[in-house]
Amino acid sequence: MFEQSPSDSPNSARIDLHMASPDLAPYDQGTAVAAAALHATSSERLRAEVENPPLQPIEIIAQQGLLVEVLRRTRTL
Amino acid sequence: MSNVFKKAMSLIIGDSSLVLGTPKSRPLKKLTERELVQLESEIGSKLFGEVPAGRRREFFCLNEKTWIWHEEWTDPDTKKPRQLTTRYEVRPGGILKAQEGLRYEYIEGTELQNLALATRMYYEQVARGVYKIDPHTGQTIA
Repeated sequence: MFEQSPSDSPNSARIDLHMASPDLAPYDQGTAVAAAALHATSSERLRAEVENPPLQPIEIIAQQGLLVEVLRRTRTL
Repeated sequence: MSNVFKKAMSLIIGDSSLVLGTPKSRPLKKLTERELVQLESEIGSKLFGEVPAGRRREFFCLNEKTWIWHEEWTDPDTKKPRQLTTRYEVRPGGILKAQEGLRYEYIEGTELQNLALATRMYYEQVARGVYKIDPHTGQTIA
């Protein structure tokens, strides 16, 4: 997960998300969407993607930040 | 209810909320935003697997537009403590990465994909683990 980058000095571990891939196991276990996708036929999946095009990574990141903020506000207000 | 009675009840039925005075229906109500972030970060730090021995990791959503990755470790050669904080900021033009001493840059490719996946996992696991809410339905988890 963390690897030395050739461009870094020998003592500085490269730490960022280039090398850090999230552990998918807990996500897959807890995600009904993923489970449903596995069982969907290709035509169903294609139709779903046309009707609800998947978000781009930037949109996902922005959306998750908003969702977390909503969770916090429901507890701190 | 007297304090003695509250304590006795908590010992009998095992309900710490009676001692702490925290309503059962809103168990996190009395936590500050900072405390909530700390709870979230405990989950965030584990999203990428086990943290290597001797390291401390934080990964959390600072606010709706900022994600933080922080690592602390000891340099194996100098034995001095090291740390690195990376900020990922949601900007109109993309996700801007900021690290001390380095130029800002918009991330792309694998790093962008990994961050997107990490934030999604973070929300899902924090919703369940900290806020006891089903991330898909918004319903409270018993």
